[in-house]
Amino acid sequence: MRIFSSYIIGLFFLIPFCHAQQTKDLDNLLVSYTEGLQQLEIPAFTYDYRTYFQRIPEITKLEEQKQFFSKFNSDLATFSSKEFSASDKIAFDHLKYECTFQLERVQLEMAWVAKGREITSGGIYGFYQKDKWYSHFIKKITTLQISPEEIMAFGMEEVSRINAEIDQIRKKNGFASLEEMYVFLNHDSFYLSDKKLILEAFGRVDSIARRSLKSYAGDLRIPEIYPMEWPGAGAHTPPGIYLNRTQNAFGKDVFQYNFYGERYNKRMIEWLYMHEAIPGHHLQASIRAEHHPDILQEQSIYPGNFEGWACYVEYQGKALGLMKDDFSYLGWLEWDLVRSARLVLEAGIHHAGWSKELAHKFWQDHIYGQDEIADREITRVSNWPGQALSYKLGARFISELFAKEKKHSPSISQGDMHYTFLKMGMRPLTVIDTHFGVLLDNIKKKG
Amino acid sequence: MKNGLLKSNTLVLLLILLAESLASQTLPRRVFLGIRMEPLTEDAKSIMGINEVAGVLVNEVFAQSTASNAGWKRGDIMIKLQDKPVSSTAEVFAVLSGQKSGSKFSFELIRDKKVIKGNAVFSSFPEESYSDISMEYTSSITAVGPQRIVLSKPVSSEGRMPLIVFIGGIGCYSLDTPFDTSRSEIQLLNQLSRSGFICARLEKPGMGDNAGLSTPCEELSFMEESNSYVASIRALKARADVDSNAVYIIGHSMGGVFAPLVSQQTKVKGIIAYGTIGSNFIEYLAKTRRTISAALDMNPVETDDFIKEFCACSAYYFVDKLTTEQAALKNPVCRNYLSAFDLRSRAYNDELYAFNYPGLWSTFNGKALLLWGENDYIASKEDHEILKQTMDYYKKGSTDFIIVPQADHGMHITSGFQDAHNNPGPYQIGVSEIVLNWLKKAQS
Repeated sequence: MRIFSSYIIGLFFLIPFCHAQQTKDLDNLLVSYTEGLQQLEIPAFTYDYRTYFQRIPEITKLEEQKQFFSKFNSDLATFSSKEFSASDKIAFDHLKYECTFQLERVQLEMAWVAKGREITSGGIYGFYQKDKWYSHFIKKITTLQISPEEIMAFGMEEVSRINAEIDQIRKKNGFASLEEMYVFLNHDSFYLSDKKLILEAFGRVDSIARRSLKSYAGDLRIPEIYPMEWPGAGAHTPPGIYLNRTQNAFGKDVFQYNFYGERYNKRMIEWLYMHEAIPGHHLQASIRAEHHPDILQEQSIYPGNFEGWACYVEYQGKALGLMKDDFSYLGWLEWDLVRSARLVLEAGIHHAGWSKELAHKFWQDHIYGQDEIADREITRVSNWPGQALSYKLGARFISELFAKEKKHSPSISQGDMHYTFLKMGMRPLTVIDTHFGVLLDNIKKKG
Repeated sequence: MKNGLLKSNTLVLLLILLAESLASQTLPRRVFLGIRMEPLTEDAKSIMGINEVAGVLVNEVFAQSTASNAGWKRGDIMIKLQDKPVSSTAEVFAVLSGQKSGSKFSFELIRDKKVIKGNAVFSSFPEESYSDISMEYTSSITAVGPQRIVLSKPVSSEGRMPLIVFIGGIGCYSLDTPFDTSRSEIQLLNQLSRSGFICARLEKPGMGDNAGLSTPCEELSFMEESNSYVASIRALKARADVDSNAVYIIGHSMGGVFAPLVSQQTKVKGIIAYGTIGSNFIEYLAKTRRTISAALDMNPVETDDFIKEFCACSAYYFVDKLTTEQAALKNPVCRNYLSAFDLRSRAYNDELYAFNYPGLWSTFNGKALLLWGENDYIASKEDHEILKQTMDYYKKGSTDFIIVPQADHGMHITSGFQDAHNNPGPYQIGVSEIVLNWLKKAQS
C-alpha cells in the first residue's frame, strides 16, 4: 500500500515534469527548425510564380532541404502530443503541417528541375505536373485542399449572387439600367479630391468601428491607425495596403490608400477601412502582437489566414453600423465582385488553360463598369497563382468555422469566437480548424 | 626635325597606350551609404509630427553599411549630409557622388523629433560574389574619364578565354548593382561565365564608380560614349586571360547600335544585338509608338492620335532642331513626349537622328545574332528583319535572327505587351540558351 502511494505521488510529480520537459524539447525543436531554415537559404516568399520558379535551387540544394524536413518529421514522431498544453499542441501541429508541406514542395521542385526547368508565361497551365503544381499553390496560399472545380463553382456562384444584389440596388434607386446608375455615380459629388476630407471620412468610419469593437472582439485597446496616401501609387496599384509599425519607417501603424488620379471614390471608404484597419488587418495585427507569437508564427505567411480575416469582416459591415447607405454597400459589392471573378479566372487560367482572350470575355460578360482594371486583374491572377483565393476562400473557411462552433455551442458569443481566432495568430487554417473548438471550450469553462 | 616628330609621335602613342590600359588601381569603389530612401511626403510628415521639416526618410538601413555603423535607424530623417541640406534623393546622390570611401563625413538626422548630429566614415560599395564565378572590378582610362569594368569569369580558368563585352541601353544607369543580381544582364553574363567565357560589363561614363570622375552620362555625345567603349575593349584585349581574336559584343537595346559602331574601331568576332534599332530613328519611333500604345491598352483612336502627335513633336525636335520647350509652345503635348530625350544631350540625340542604321551594320565583317523578344514593345521586330536583310545583302549567311519566345525588351518572362509593361517577370532564361548555342557555333 505504501509502495502504491509512493508510486501515485511519484506519478503525480512525474506528469507535470514530463509536460515541462516535452514543452522544453518542443521549444528547442522550434528554434532549431527555424534556425535550420535560415541556413537552407530557401528563397523568400513571393506571389509571382515566374520569380518563384526561377529562384528554385539546383538538385543538391533541394536534396539538403529534403533531408532537413525529413529529419524534423522523424523528430516530431518521437513526441507524444497528448502530454502537451493546448498551445503546445497547436505549435506541434503547425510544425508538422510545415514539414509535410515543405516535403511536398521539394518533391515537386525536384521533378521540375529534373525535367529541364521550363517556365512558361500566362500561368502554370503549361507546366510539367501542372495539376499537382496548382494544388500546391492553392495549399501554399490557403493551407486548404480545394479542387479547381470547387473554386470555379464557388466563384461563379458568388459572381451571380453579387450581380443580383447590385441589380437590386439599381432597381431600388430607380435606375433603368446599370449604365444609367453609373453615369449618375460618376458625378463629382461621389468623389473626394481633398485629402483632408478623405482623412475625415476615414476618421468617421474609425469612430463607428471602434464603438462596436467590444461586442465584436472584446474590450480591447487598439492603437491608433493613420491613413495616408500610398506614395507612388498608379493605376495598377491595389486600393490599399496595411503596414504596421514594424513594417514602415513612420513609427506608427498606417494604411495607405491609392489616390492615383487625385479623385477618390467615396464608395471605397467604408469597406477599405474595414479591410485594412478595424476590424481587419489592424485589429488582427494588434491582437497577434499582444499574444507574443512563437518563432514559427513569425516566419510563416498564410495569406488565407490574414486576407481571409480581412475579407470576412467586410461581410459584417452592416452589423457594425457601416454600409448603411446603398452606395457604400454597393462600393463593397463592386470589389467583392472583383474578388469573386478572380476565383473563376484562377481556376480558368491555371487549371482549364484559359487564354487571355477567354479571360477577358468572362470579365466583360460578368463585370459591369470596371473594364479599366480587367487587364490588371487578369495579369495579376495569371502571375500570382493561388493569391486571389486567399480572400474569399479564407473568409468562407472562417465563416464556416464560426457557424460550426455556434451550432455546437449556441451560447458562445461572436466576440469570443473572433477573439479566439485572432489570438491563434498566423497558423495554417487547417491547424486552427483542429484546435479552435478546444480553445473555445476553455473560454467557456473559465467564463 | 624628323627625330623630333618621331619623339612626339612616340609620346602620343605612349599616352594612347597608357590611356587605353586597364587601370585597376586607379578607380576606387564608390561610397556605400547603405540605406533605402524615400521622399518625405506631407502625409508622412503629418503622421510623424514633423510638419516643418525638409529631408529624406530613411526607410531601411542595410547591415554592415556606413549608415548602420553610424547608428542610423529606419525612420530617421536625413536633413544634412556633409553640411549640405538634403530634401530629395537626387540631392543625396549628388553629395555622395563626390565622396571617397574611407573619407569622413558629417550628417544631421531627425529622430523622435530631435536633431542628431554625427560624423562617420564612408565604407566602400560592396562587390558581387559567387561560389562558382570569379569577379574582378577593373577599369580603363577613356577620353571622358575612367571607366569601370565588372568582369566575371569561371573560377577555374586557364589560358586565354573568349571575351563577351556587354553594352547597355539608352538610359543613364549603372550596370554595377551587387544588391540586385537578378537583373537580366547579370543573369545572362553569369551563365556565360559559367560556360567558359570571360564577361565584361562596361559601366556608362558618369555612372556607378565613374560618377564624379568622368563626364556625366547626360552630357555625353553618342560618339563620346561609343569611344569610351572602344577604349575599354582595346584595353581588355590586352589582358593575358583574353583571347583577343574571340571578342563578342552583346548590345542591349541602344547597345545594339553602339556595337557595330565600336567594331569599326576595334575588331570583334561577333555581335549579339537584343531589342535594337534597325531603321532610321524617326521611323523607329513611329513604329514603336504603335506597340507602346498596345502595351498601354490604348484604343485605336487614341493610338492614331498618339502616333500622329508623337511624330509631329519628334519632327520639331529632330528635324527643326527645336528644344522641348520650344516644341511645347507649338503643341503642349510635346513636353510629355519629348522630355525623355532631354535625359540625354542634344548632341547625342542629333547623332541618333543622323545615323543610317543599316549603314552602321553594312561594314561589319563578323558574325551577328539579332534577338527580339516577342513581347518587346519598345523595339520593333521589323527593325531586326531590316538588319538581317542588310547583313544578308552585304555578307550573306553571317547573321541569324531569332525571336525569343515569352520575352520582353528587358529579357524578362512575359505573356504579352501589357504584361511586359505592367508586370514583367524575372529574367527569361531562354535568352541564355539561345546566346550560348549561337556562341558555340560561332566559336567552332
